[in-house]
Amino acid sequence: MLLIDYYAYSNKLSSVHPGEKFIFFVITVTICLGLNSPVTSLAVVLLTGATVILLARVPWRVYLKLMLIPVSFLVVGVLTVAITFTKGGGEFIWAVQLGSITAGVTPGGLELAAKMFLRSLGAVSCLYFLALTTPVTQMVGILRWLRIPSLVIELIVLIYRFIFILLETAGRIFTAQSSRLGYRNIRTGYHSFSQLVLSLFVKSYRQSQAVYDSLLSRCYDGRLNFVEAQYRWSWVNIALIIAADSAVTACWLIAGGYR
Amino acid sequence: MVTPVIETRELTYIYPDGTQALRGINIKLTAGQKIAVLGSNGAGKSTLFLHLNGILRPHSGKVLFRGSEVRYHQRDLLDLRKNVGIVFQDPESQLFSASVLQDVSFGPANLGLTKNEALAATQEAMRQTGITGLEGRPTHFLSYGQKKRVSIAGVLAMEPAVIIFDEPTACLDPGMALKIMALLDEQSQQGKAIIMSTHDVDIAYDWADYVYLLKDGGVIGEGEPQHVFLRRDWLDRCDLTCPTVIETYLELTGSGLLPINKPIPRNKQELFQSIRSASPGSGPLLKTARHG
Repeated sequence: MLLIDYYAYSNKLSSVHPGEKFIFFVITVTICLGLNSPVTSLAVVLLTGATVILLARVPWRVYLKLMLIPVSFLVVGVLTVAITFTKGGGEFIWAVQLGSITAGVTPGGLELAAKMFLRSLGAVSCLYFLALTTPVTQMVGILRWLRIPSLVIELIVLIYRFIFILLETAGRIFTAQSSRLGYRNIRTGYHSFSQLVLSLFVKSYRQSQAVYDSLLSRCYDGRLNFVEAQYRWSWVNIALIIAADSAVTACWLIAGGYR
Repeated sequence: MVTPVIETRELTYIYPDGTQALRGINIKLTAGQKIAVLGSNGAGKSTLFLHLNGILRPHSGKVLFRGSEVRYHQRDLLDLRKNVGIVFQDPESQLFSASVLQDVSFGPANLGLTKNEALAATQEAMRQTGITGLEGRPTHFLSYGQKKRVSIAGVLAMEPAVIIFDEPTACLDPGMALKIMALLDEQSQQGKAIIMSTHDVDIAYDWADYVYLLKDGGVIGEGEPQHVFLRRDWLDRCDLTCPTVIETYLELTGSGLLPINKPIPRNKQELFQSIRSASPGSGPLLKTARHG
């Protein structure tokens, strides 16, 4: 998660209008899920992958590593679809007999599994595109534009900020404990860890009080008002988005459309 | 007499656990004045500051803003907080958003400005604190000094008449501390009243034009720095030391190397100047450091 956060700020598309990135995400993910064909899914995976690696300049190793996480889940999920259990016979590519039940892979099951795999992978890669190019601070602007209730947005702003304070505080306590041999063996480790959690709780509470005081002293009235960064719409980018997504749709038509 | 911008009369405050944090504090501050508040840890400095913009409400005594008593209803409090800004010691407790721009613009956005006015005020504050380039960076990637400047910008952006700095130079490297002090001077020249708490007697002596010494929630000494820092008894009670400039001056006059008829030097430069003019036929003995 922190790796994604780091690249969200440092990638080459971070200064692009968040709305453009969001539109690209929405159109592409709609195409991927709406036009259910392996060719479209594959095209979407390649398109978003290329955008993240070539345009946003996220190192390909990092991208592959990140993609491996959902892929491992997908493989497990898709396996259950690929394997068919049946009492009767049927056309199997590969099968084992378990008593009266035949378990195996049918061509239909395999096709369905492959389709599902590619479709999910396409959707995930769209999500990765958004996560890797659009920092949370910009997402807040998009959510405001989408008229999401301000309570939700304020919670997101505060929680996101506090995640890092919490991590940093926990890290500092851990260092202080380890430098005094707090984790030398399992027993002391358990003890130290419980102390860490406890003091983290107390510290977070005090920190939240301090933040509240400082908000009050800047005229907090129960609503987190702030000004959003201004971005310029780029017509070139919009044209590129339309072109890329049209190309994906064209792939689908060439591959046979709805047939 | 000029009406003080902010004034406290017999301010007392007792924490919920029964600790008496303030025992009848009287301080006042006029526009353009630079006040240093010194005292050991737990002397009540931060508690006092939280009273000055109405975060805490005194048990007895009162706070006066521009001559009129602060009544603790919403309108009065908003007016007070608009005009009295606090820069807290720990920038982490002040930054609520991961976005520098969002955080700095929080104050101006609360003042009822239009979006463009708020943005202009935000950008001006970021320019004054030298963080213009950090707009797109999230706060969790910033260094401590940068976070400190962002938290200062968040207060400057509201253009308060009084700015309170709670230990502005704590945990900063000397270079950054100098920059922050220069910023304080700049704000003071613009006519803002500034209160700073610090443990650094050298900075306080050099910078302030009035000093309060706090001990156990009470003011045990106040006055101009040349006066206050000569009172060994006061300094000892507050666990403070004598500023280097005064100590050196006293040593030099005591051993007859400097004449005693002159006023006490206000800073390092003045001290060096009197050493130079006292030593016969010599050029500059010491190369003066950048900061006085």
